[in-house]
Amino acid sequence: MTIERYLTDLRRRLPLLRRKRFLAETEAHLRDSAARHRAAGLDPESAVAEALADFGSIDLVASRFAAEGAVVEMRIASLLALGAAAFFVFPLYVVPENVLPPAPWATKPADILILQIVAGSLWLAAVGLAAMAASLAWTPWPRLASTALIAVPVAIAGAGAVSAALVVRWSGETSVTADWPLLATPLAVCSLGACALACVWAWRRRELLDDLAERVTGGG
Amino acid sequence: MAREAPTGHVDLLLLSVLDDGAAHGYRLVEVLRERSGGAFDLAEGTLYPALYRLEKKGLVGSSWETVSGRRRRLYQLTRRGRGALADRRTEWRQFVAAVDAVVG
Repeated sequence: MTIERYLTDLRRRLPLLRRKRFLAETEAHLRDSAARHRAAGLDPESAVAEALADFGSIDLVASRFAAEGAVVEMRIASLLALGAAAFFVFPLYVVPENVLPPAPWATKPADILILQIVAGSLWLAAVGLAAMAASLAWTPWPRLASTALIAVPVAIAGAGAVSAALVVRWSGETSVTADWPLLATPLAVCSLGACALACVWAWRRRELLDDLAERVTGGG
Repeated sequence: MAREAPTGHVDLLLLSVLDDGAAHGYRLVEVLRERSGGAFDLAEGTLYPALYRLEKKGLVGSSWETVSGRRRRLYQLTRRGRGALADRRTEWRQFVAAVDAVVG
């Protein structure tokens, strides 16, 4: 394998964060190493092979690099989830009084009240889990954050679904149609989608975080 | 010797080498190999994530330098890094003394 081929293959396996810098450093390192092996008497092809072997397999190097980056990704995912949970869903639907036409009833129907309580509880759960994940992502145990994180989009989706039912029920009781929820729905869907992708991505990085935690605590 | 050392030890080794002066990645590997008499047969590519982690903690600083027409990232200890190195050296010596006392 040539140095160029190694760099190309390694590039495909690295996360974006610091990739360019790491590849530049890797290339300089490999060329220095190959030069040293040539100076020691190896032919150019063998010198490159030795340099690549000394540097480590692409699997090993990429996994080690990705493990360090996974912590940063976990933090980004946690903040994204917290933003999605706190910023979008609640103002949209959970408290219809804020955004929908005034209700005509004197006493709120029980089913509407129940829908509000369920939606509000799910929303509080989503924000709480996201806040917990965002806090854990800055501790030496970021893997715990992924566990809290994966539940966030589920709770947001639940809050969104119940809130949508609430809005439909609420609108059925009023004569005026509000267009605000319709305009806001794409935003909510996009934020939930971004949050869900980030959380799933973070969840899939858990093995790397396990590996990192093991080495940081000296067990590797 | 093992292909890699636990991360905590790699950190101590890197900080110790950088205590003698700034160095780029490959030079760090050479010094580690020379000083250990070849005992630390590290996968060289795994040192960079360790350096990035030390940099993120503020223990190491780095900048690009051009040497012999090739760009290299030069690493040096920060003031905070020197303090951390002193602490880790003390911990390491205490650990070694304790193990020696048990092993004999």
